[in-house]
Amino acid sequence: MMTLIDRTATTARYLSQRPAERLRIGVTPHQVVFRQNKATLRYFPSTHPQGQQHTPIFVSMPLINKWEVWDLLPGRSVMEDLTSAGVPVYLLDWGTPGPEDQAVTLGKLVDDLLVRMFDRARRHAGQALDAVGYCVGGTFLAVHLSRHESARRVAFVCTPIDFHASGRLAVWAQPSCFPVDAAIDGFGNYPGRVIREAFSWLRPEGQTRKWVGLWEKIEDPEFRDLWAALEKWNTDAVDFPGEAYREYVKRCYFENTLLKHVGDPGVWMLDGKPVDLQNAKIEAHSIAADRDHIVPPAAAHALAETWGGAVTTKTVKGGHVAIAANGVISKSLLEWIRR
Amino acid sequence: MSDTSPDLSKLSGELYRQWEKGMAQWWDQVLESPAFLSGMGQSLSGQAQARANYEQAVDQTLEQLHIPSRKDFIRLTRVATMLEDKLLSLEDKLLTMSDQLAAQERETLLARVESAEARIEAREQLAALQARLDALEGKAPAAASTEPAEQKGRARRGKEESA
Repeated sequence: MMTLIDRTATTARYLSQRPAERLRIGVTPHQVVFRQNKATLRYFPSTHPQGQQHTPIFVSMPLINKWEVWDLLPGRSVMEDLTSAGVPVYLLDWGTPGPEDQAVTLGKLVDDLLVRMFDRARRHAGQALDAVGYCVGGTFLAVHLSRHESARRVAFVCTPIDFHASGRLAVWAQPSCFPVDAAIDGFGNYPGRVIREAFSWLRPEGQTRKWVGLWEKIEDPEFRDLWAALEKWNTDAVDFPGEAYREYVKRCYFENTLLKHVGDPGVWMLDGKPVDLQNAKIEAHSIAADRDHIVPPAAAHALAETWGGAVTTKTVKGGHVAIAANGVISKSLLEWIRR
Repeated sequence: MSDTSPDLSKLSGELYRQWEKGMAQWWDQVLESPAFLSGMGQSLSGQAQARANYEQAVDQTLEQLHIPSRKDFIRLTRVATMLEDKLLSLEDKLLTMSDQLAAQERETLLARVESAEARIEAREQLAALQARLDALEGKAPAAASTEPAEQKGRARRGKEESA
């Protein structure tokens, strides 16, 4: 048993080595099969001894973080779990937008980039795909699938649909206190560091708990590595293309339009065409985490009220990011894939 | 020291949890209060405005010095992105055309197979007719019966090719 002083000294020594900077994340072998602007389509082939065992999946990751959260470390990777079970994965990494991308609209992302990424993935796979969306990547995927027949079926992981059920984030993202127009006009792209700060202040106690957690488990090398990997991923925030963010916040957080249908007042018109999730006819599965403070289960499972096809839901134990690191997402997705 | 440390560790952990609980309750009140929300919005607007002013000032200075500014680079990269978009649109069209060609090729092949089958069937029918004719005329059907049919087939193929 370490003394308080030993523990504190060990923690300080560990942090002085800058562990997050030295660690490499996203190391599961894969290849880039297509690029458009900053976006990249990454192909993770099946590593099952008998090759491909299931239909390939197309994964739409969130725009506000790096994709490596699903591939943190060997043994802590959704990608590794899926590919070793014989599921080839095509992962859409939206990339890091530059100032030149501030005029990129949500319509461009949903009706152009996603269409092309699906097309190239399908051509590469030589067969139809299943789709998976995580967090806001899932929201955009839902809008896309309501307008294009790109996948056979879809699973949404911690994907916000009812934005007014998003807890504290819904309280903060109101027109009266969130000047999104002024922010985009000034910043251009919405800064990733502001999004990261907002997320960390959703649960202020989490900021101290992070350090106390490390201090308490400093003797556990596996915990230390995971802590450093999450720290590395979390500090590497990504800007959100300005015009796309403006539309996303207004239509989703301010007006909560994903619950509206054609004929309802205030339906979302994206590039002149209404967004109506009722138009999506494929089977959907919603996975939510019970301690998710970013997308609570109510915000995610609202999919069942608005999706046009059959919907099943599952609530797992854990938090928004923790379920990626502790194998819960992999397990839930593999259950869905094997159905 | 080491004998008492585990207890101290436990105590510090308990103290931390109590402190955390109290702080969380306090933050819950602060973070959703109208004053905080209003301040947060004003701070964000202020930061965004400051950023825009700074970038404008830097751009103006660079322009006065006749050095390419951030705006110029953004313009250039936008042009490059638009060019990439056009190229990708062309690639999309080529892929669609390639799909259509492949589909047509498949259809043509199917049609050729069907017509070849039809020709074989017709040839067999002709051979059968010839055999019956020969039988009616009292000739031996063997050997001679297939030759005229083959000659007719060759003649028909020649006509089709010239057409």
